[in-house]
Amino acid sequence: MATMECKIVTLGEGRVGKTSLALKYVKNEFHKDEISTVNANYLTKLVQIPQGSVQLNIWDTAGQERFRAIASNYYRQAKGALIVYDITDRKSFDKVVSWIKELKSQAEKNIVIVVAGNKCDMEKERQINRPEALEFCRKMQIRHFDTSAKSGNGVEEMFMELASQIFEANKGELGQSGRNSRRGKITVEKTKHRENSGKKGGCC
Amino acid sequence: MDEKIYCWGFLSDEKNSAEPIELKAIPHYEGLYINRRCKYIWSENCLYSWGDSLLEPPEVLLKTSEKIIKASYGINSPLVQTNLKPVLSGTFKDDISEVFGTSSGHAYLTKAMEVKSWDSGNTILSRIASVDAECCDFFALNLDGDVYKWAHIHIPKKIFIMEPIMTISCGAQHSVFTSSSEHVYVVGSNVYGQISIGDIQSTEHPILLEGITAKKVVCGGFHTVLLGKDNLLYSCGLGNMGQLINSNFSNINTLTLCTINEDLGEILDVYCSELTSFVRFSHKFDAGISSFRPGNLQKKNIIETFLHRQQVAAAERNYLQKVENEEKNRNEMIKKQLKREKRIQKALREFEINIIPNWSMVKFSKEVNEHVKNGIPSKFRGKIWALLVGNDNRVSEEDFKEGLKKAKRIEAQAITVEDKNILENSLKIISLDITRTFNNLGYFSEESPLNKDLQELLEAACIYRADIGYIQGMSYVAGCLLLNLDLIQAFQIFISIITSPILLPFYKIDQEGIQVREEIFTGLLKENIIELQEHFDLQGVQPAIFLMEWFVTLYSKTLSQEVALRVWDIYFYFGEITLFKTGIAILQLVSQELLEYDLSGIMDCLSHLAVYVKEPDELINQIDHVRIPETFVRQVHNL
Repeated sequence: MATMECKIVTLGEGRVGKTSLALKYVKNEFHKDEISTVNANYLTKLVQIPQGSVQLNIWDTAGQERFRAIASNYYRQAKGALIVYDITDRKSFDKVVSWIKELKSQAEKNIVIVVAGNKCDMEKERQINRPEALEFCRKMQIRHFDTSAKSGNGVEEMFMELASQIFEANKGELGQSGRNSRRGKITVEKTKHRENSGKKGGCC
Repeated sequence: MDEKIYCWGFLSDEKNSAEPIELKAIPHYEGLYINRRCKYIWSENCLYSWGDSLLEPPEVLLKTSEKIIKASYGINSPLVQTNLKPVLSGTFKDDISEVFGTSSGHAYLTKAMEVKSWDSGNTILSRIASVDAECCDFFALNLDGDVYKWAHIHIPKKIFIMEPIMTISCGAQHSVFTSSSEHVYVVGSNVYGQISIGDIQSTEHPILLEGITAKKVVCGGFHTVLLGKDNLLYSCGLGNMGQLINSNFSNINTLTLCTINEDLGEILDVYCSELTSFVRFSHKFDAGISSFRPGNLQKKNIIETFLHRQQVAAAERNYLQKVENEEKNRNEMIKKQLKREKRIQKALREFEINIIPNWSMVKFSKEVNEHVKNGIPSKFRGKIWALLVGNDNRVSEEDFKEGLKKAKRIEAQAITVEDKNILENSLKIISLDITRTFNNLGYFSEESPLNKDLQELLEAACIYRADIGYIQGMSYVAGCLLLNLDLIQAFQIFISIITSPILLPFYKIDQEGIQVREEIFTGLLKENIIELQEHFDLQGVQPAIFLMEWFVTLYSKTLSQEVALRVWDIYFYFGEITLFKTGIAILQLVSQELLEYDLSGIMDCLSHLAVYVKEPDELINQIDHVRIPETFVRQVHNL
């Protein structure tokens, strides 16, 4: 059966659980105080879905706002994006909107986006009303998942869904693309760089 | 021939079936080996394999004049044992008895019952009876009935199960174990109901399926088939191809009796490939050597028994040899340790009596140079760092207090709006990062007194140099300083580090500046290990990806504490060029591995460097030997 290799990125505010979700899924590990990500981590996992298999190359980016300018280096050429927010933190949900906007204008056209409302094991401290989140994602035509990297709830389902949506969206290319294009290369384009640093202005 | 094999499920790209389809076998076959990785059948002198279509007869893979005893999965070609040669296949190391693999690589089981990594040949586990793999995880069962699980380069972990296990079988993302009392344990994904635990999506701890006993259980990619003690078949999981042997194409989330026409005969054995189930009906059969021989199989013939005994004897010999070697290695380790301790004792005296009292005179002497390379004794480490760094920036205790006071005010929301926008974010992230710093060591946990120090240092620094602010990763540098110095001194050195010309752009995330430094690093890499630089280029690995973390944390997040502190010693002594040299030296130490890996392997290796770079002396020595041409020295100086 065909194997599709694809690059996906995790995006979202700091400490919402991007690394934890990726680690839980790829290695089934969970640390209460996951160390903060500097720049980005890289993880990879082969997902088998009934249609075939998908090699997910996950670039797990740093959440701090100041790393945001660099994040575009990672989501460029990505076939999928996982935007994470923390259900106990209103601000992190507001960030989701701006990430979706940025992806829709800057990323590949057919990028598959899913949204994860993480830390759903902390239901008591919830600040984002679930119907609100669902309605928002429905309007955007994006799948929403309630996840908990701690308990593992929803994590596998979410990555499976991401993998199968990516498979569907890209199956046209499967046969044709040669070996060269298989790799999820991350290329930091030099010219782009300068543009970014110009735009960034006085953020820091 | 009284025996027949039927299959259900995926048959070819065009056809699948929920009704039994007779598999076209070969007349008078001696053995059969079907699992998720391959489908082999053999006669006395000839090995066949079914191809992509199960509707076609199997094709010849190998002919030999010797008698084939067993065939199993090999990576590029089958692994075949004959009565004369242990292994009949060109590509193999000769002690192999089983090969198994995941998406990230392969491992193999030796005749000495050790599991070894395919790539490195390193021993992962010993006394192993049987092995299998999911798509991402390896599983092994040892002679005591313990099950171990690991992935790629990770260390195997024992899975806790209530009783000794006798057999293991792995699907794509789920596994099933049977115990000596024929109980069934399941673990992994239940997305299609493949582990029969109802609505629960998955489990990472094995669960006992109550009230079920089994002669044999096998996993397909996403389904499970169980041969009960009643000699009836049960199945669950993904049914889209008809693989659940029940004339149906739907998924089932509990083990359910299969519907098999009695005319097909008595069930002898069951196998699964990814999306297909196979059942062998009626009459005798022999399935080759296995350490655990299920009671439903016929006894081995004389030759086989003899060979098996030989193998066991060889295994015992190898095992004893290995124990002896381990003993020897341990003794050598102890010797090394003793030597190191002696060296430290000597250095301690030297620093106390000769070096510190005469610091300004001896600081650049050959002896001190040598001592720093050997590691500053931890007792004097902070003191020597402070002496080396000095305080050119004239950062005072007042600066610290002032910064901290303002930070507290901002937190209390008593300042102007602009200030708040810039700083509030940084301050918020600082408080999130404190307990996550060196989290595995617990130095900065909430109960620890250092917790408050770290927060205060970072907050004060963030205000004192508001033009730089805080970025994630800084907490490691501050943490490392606090472990060796008091708060004010740590603050002074921290400011000196984050404002140093080479590091400043990293802390400011000034992409242009970072790029210049990346280019220097790439140049040095080319100078020192050109083949690795070319390999990185080919694989699309840009040094910026890892350089950011290395430089921002001064390697303290990347390397183990012991090794990182030694790097810091020479960083403070020999200056900033050390940062570049250390990066190159690390890559030199792991270049053998890196050259073999593609992007994912490289990134995996680079994110586990602490595992690869364990010996501080080795790294320091390597750093000493990094070549830095004059032009680079000038470039670095001009930054």
